[in-house]
Amino acid sequence: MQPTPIRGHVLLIEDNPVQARLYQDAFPDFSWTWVTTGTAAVAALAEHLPDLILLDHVLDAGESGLAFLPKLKSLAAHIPVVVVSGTLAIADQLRALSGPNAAHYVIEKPVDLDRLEQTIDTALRECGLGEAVAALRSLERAELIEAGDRERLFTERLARQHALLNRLRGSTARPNISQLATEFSVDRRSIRRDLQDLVTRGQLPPEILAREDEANSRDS
Amino acid sequence: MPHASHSLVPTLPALQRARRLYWLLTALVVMLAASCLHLGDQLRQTRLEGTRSNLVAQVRFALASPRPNQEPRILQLIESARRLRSDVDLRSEATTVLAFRFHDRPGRRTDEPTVCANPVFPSAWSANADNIALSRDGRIIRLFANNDCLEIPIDRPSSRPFRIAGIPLTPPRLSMTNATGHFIAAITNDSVALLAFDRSGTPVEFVRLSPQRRRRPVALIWHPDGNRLAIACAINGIPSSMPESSGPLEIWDIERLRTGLEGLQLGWSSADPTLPLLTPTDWTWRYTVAAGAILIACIAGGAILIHRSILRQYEEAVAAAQARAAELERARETLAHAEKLRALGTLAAGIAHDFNNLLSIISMARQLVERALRPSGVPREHLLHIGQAVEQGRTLVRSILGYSRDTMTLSRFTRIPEVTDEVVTLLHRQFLSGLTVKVDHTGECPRVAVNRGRLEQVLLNLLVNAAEAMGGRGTLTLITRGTTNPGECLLPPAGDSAWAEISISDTGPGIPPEVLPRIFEPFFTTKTIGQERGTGLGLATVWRIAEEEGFGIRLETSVGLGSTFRILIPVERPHPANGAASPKPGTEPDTVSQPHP
Repeated sequence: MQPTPIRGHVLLIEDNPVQARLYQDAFPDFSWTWVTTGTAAVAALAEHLPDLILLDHVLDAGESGLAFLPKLKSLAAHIPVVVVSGTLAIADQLRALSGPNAAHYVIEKPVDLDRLEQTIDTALRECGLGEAVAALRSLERAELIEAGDRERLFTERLARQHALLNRLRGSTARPNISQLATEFSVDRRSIRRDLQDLVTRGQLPPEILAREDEANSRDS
Repeated sequence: MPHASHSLVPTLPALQRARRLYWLLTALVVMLAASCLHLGDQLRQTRLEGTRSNLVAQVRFALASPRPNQEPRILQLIESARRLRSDVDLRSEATTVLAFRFHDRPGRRTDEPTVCANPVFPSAWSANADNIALSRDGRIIRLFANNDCLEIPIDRPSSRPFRIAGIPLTPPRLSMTNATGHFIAAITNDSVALLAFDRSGTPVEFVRLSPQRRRRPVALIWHPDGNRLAIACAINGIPSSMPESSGPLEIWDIERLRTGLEGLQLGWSSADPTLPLLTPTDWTWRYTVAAGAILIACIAGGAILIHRSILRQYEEAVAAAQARAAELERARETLAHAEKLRALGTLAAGIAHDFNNLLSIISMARQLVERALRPSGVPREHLLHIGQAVEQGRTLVRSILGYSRDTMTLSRFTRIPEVTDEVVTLLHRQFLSGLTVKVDHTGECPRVAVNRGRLEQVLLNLLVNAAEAMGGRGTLTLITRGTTNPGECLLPPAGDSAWAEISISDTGPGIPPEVLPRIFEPFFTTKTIGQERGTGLGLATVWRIAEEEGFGIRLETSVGLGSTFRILIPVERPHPANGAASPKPGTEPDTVSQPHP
C-alpha cells in the first residue's frame, strides 16, 4: 500500500480520546501528536515543533486551553493555532482572537469536517511562517532598514522555504529543482539547501530529498 | 399577609379598641338623644296639659261670671289653645263660646242663637260638652244653659239617641246645668243622672237620682239657688208633657250631696283668672331640648368624624404596608428568579460544553462514515437523520447558551416597526403559515435606542411562541405604538415617562392561571415532549433579555381567548446600560457587533 504522504504535523490538545481519534481519522495525511493537557502540550512543543496546533478549550485536569495560549505562543509564535470550543461565548472567542497572543481561528463545536479542513488548509498555507515572512518584509519596508545581504538573504530564504513548503506539502512527487531555481531566481544549490532545511525540520518527508538526490545523480 | 405589615403598623390593637369604643359611643349618643327627646316630650305633654287645663278653666271662669264684651277674650283663649297643639280637643271650649253667646245676649229670643258657623264644631256628637251638643249629621244643636235646654233643629230632628257622658238621655227636656254651673242633671229612661265636672272639665256621673217605683222622670227644673232639683215624673208609662202638669213631682235637695264633691276635686273651681295666658313660650322647652340634643349630636358627630379619620389613616397605613409588602415580595421573587437564571446560566454553560462535545463526535463520525462508505438509499437517509439531529442539537445548545453569553452589541436608534416587519418576514414562511397576521403601525411609535439583535430575539421568541400556541390557526396581531402608561407590568420597564410598546396578541388557548407564574422559568414548557422546539427557553430568554435591556413585560391572558404580550421599550435609555450588556472600558473594543446567528 502506498504510504500516505504526510502534509504536516499537528499538535492536538484534546481531552476526549474519541474526539482525538476522530481528528486523526479525519486527517490521515497529517502526523499527529496528541496530548490531553496544556502542560503536556508545552512539553511536546519543546521536543518538536508542529505545523499547526489544534487546541480544545476545555481540557483535562481543569485546564483551560485559552489560558495556555500565551505560553504556546511564546514557545512557537509562528505556528498557527486553531481553537476548538463548545462553550466559548462570543466575547471569549473575540478575546481568544485578539491581542498579541491571539489564536488564528476559533471553531465552534460540533465541528463540521469541511470547515475544519478549509481552516487547516488556510492556516498552513497563509498563517504561521507566511505571516512571519510578511511581517519581516513589511518591517524592512517600514523601518527602512538598510538591510545587508545576510539579513535580506534570511528573509528571502524564509519566504522561499514557505513557498516551497506550500507547493510540496502533501506531495510525494519529485520536485524539479531546476524549474524551482528558475522560478525563485536562485541557484539550484539554494533550493536544495532549503529542501534540506524543511526535511530537517520535519516539514517535508525525507523521501523528497532522497529522490531529489537520486534525480540529481541521474542528472549528473 | 406577610408579617412585615404588622411591624409597620404597631397601633393596630389600640385602634381596634378605638373601633369598639366608637360603636359604644355611638350607641350611647343615640340612647342619650332618644331619652332627651322622650323627656322633652314628657315635659311638653305635662306642660301642655297644664296649659290646656288652665285655658279651659279660664274659659269656664269667664263663662261662670259673664260680662259684656267678653267674647273676644274667650275666643283668643281658644285660639291660643288651638295653636298650642292641633290635636287638643277644643270642642268643649267651642261649645262654651256658644253658650257664652247665648248668655251674653239676654235680649234675644232663646230660640235664635247665633251658632250656625263655628268652624271648630265637629261633625260627630259632642257628648263631652258640658252644655252643648251637635248631632252627628250636624242638623240639630242642643244647648243646656241657665236652667234651660234648647233644642235647635237645623234641619229636622235626628232619631239617634243623645248621650251625655255615656248616659243615654230622653228627649225633649233632657238635661240642665244648675245655677252655679257645678252640676248637670240629665234624664235617662228611669232615673236622673247628676253629672259633675272632673279636673279636665269632662262631665262624669256623680250620682244617680232614682224616682220612686214605677215613676219615670220626664222633665227637670233647677231651683235658682242651684241646690234643689225638681223632677217631673210619669207614672206607669203615662206621658207627662210638662213638669207643671199633673203627675208626681219629686224635689231633690242636693245640698246634702255637696260633701261628696270634696273628693271629686272639681276642675273649674280652681280656675284662676289672674293666671297669665300661656302663649307658645312652651316651645322653648322643645327648643332647649332639641338644641341640647343637637349639641350632643354635634359633639358625638365630631368625635365620630375624628375617630373615622383616625381609622382611615390606619387603614391607609395598613394598605401602604400591604403594598410595600407585596412590592417586597415581588422584588424577592424577581431576585430569586434572577438567581435561578444565573445558576442556570452556569449550569447551561456546562451542559452546553458536554453537549457540544458529544454532538461534535457524532457529527464528525457521521461525516467520516459518509466519506468512507459513500452510502446510498436507506443508510444514506439514516446518516442524513443523524446530521439533522446534530443540527437540532446545535440549535438547542445555542439557545441554552443564551443564558451564559454576554453580549457586546451597541444600541442604536431604531424604528421599531422596521424591526417587527423584518422579524415577521423572517418567520413568515416557516412559522406563521396558516395564520392571519395583522400588523398595525398606525400608532405613533417613537424611535428608541435599542439593541436591535436582542429585540429581534425577543420578538422571534414571542412570535414563535404565539404561533405555536395557536397551533397553525388563528389571528396574530402585532401592534406598535408609543405610550406613556406602562400599566401593570410583570417586569416593570426602565425609564419613567415614555415607552415604545410592541404588543403581540394571539387567539390561542390562553395561559391557565396555575402555570402563569412559571411561564418565564427556564425549561418550563407546556409543549409535549417530542414536539419540536419545546426547550422551554423561549420566554425565559425573553425575560432575561428584557431584564438586561430595561424592557418591560406586560401580559394579559384569558383562558380560551388568547394572550397578549406587551414589550415596553423605554424611549430614554438608562445610563449606563446594564453592566452585563456594556463592555468594560479599556479591556474590550468599544464597537463590536455580535454576528447574527
